Amino acid sequence: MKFLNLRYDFDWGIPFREPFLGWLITGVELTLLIAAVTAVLSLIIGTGLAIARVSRFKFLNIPARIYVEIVRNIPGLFWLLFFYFVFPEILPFGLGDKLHAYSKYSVVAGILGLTVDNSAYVSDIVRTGLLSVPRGRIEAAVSTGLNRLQQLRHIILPEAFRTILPPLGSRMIHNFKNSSLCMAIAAPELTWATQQVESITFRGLEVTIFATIFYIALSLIMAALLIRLEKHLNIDLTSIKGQQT
Amino acid sequence: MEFFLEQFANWKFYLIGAYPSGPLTGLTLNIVFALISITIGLFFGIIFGLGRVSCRRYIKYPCSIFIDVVRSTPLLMIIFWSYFFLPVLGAQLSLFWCAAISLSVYAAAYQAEIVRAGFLAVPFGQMDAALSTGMSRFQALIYVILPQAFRVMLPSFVSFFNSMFKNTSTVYIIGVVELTRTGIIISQLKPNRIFAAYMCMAIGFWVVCYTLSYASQILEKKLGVIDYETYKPEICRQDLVLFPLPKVVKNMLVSNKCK
Amino acid sequence: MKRRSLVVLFAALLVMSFISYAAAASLLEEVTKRGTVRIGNGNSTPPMNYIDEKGEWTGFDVDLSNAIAEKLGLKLERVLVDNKTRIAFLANRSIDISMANISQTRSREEQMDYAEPPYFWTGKIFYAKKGKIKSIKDLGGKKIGVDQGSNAFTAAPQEIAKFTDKKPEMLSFQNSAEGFLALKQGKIDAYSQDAQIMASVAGNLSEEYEAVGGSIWSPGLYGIGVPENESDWRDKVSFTLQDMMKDGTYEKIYQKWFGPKGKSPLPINARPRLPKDTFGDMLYTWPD
Repeated sequence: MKFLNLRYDFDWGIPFREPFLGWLITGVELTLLIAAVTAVLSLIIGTGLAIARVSRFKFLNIPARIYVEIVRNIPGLFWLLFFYFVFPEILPFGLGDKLHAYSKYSVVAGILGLTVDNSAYVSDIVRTGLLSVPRGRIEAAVSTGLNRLQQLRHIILPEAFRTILPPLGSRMIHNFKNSSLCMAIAAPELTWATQQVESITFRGLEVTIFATIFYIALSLIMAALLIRLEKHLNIDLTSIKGQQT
Repeated sequence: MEFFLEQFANWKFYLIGAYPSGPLTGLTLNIVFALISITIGLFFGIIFGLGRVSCRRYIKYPCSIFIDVVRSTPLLMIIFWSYFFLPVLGAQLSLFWCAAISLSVYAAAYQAEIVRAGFLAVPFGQMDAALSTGMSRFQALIYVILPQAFRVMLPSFVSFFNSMFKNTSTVYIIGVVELTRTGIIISQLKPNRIFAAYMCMAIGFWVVCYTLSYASQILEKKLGVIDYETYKPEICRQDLVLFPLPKVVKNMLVSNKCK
Repeated sequence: MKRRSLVVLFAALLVMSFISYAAAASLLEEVTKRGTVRIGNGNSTPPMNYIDEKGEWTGFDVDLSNAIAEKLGLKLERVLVDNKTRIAFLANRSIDISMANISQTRSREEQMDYAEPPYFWTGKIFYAKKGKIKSIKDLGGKKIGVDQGSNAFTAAPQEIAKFTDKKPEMLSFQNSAEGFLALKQGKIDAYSQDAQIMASVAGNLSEEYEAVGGSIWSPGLYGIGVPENESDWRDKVSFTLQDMMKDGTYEKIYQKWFGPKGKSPLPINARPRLPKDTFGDMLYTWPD
């Protein structure tokens, strides 16, 4: 690498030296854990919110709309910091102190913060899907004698999820990338690990290269799986983009 | 309640910091970053976006790879790259420009996708019609295609600006004193007022973002919207030669739409 | 196809090799020619360097670097660094001087040099709630916070291992203030940082906290960082610092921050000085 005249001597042994290797491996595990748990939780909460938002009942509809308007207009980073530093302070009954003392609280706060942030976006996407289900399907369901819950469970949700798979998948990839923000609250995930190596050895480029490749590769693989799933479900992708708002 | 009133004494620090006498900080800095990144990002976004729909392979491939690589990297990683790697290359950058560049790179990749989608939304007949009137390809692009494409892209740009504004909070990690860092500094000067300080921070972000999202909703209703976040790296089989990926993944990535 | 990609690769390498930098004769000449000196300061460790409630960048390091630039007769270009970049930026020559509470350690010496003498003497303490932890031995198995970029991340477990077999759990925060907040909220049992920084971060809450065992566990001699192997420049900076100590500029800044009427009064004498029993109370400067 000398001929590039970089002001840096690469030492490719660094990522494989203890304790750096251990940090990186824990980091990868934790990144995957946070991304997976957040994806599942935000899917559940987001679907709930979306159903509440299209519901006719005002006491479901209005709180859900307020929640989404608040969360969507504040950066995800804020929610992470909020859940780590502020949330336990405002809990009653000494519950907060217990949370403070819990040694993995940074991970929990990261999951909570990302879930809150992501669920608002997911609810937007799911809502679009719910609204895109043709009126005729619902009327047909009503005429076969299904009640509202059954309609939702058997007709509307499956139809909606097929439609929104592409944007939902891309949101989840986005969420996976956002998990790197957890380093701000000292959760030892992959980005934190690279910065930790940088701060100890003052040479972080090697590990940063590894981490970047990891993120890119995993994002591309997830995108590939998504395309494959779409093909499997046989959705015409071109028709979905952008029209059904 | 008095917690909040107490915070209002700090309004100047939240909004502009010590601006005329010292460096610009606070909420205004977020807006400045968002504006800079969206402007530089737009310039390169048009280049990369149009490059991606180009027929020439040596233009198309680098543009596609740039867009896909940046879009699958977390913003935080891009920030660290420009923070730690640009000085290694010998670029002397202030922290401000370091943050601005990384945000611009990020914005460029996403805006390139908006530009590409907007460009593809213009019917192909328009190009033929323009060429048949004797315009050159470049003239046709400037006078016929782009004006129409921009109309389609406008709502997406506004909502992307909103998302970019929220992303500017990320640069707090490298020590830029924008609104997030401001709130943290204040919450730490008075640790028992932490809730109020965080609320002020949230209100600052919320007011700007809500205004923007309101504007984009109006525009969307008028003009319709393109989903710029939909993630589809439409890499062709040939593009993947440059990627060191296993063959199984490569085959999966190949989309039918590309020839 | 293959040949074409090879051509592209070589073209890319050719372009990249143009992004090289011409090695100057010496940093001293380069800085003199440039007319500005780039000094790296942090902004998150009061009282050394921080942003006050008005948004002004201030602190002991900041004032001292102003004075050094003035003494050198050069224009000052202040560069923001943090715990991670204060040494990396020196190594890649983004800055000429780094003054961001850098304790001198041997491992850092591989990447940088220090001007003589260390400009501030302090020491690392384990800071904890009063009466909760009696001695360093009790820290085994506890949660200990440090700044990301502090050498305490590896040094503290080694120190604790001298007293007990139980390993502490280490957490690293982005800056001392976040770490102190975590300490206050009980997320960590102790925070390891230099004594005067902890006192200043804790502010009026410092009554409720104390140093574990009442003493420092590792000396922290703050040095002015200069790039590696630039002895002309290093001498120039060293002599400037020593001149300032001789003519009272240093003392004035010291009094402003750490004197009895200063912004963050210190009970101890943290000036760089020679051993009292041999030399009396002399500042650590070289004779002409």
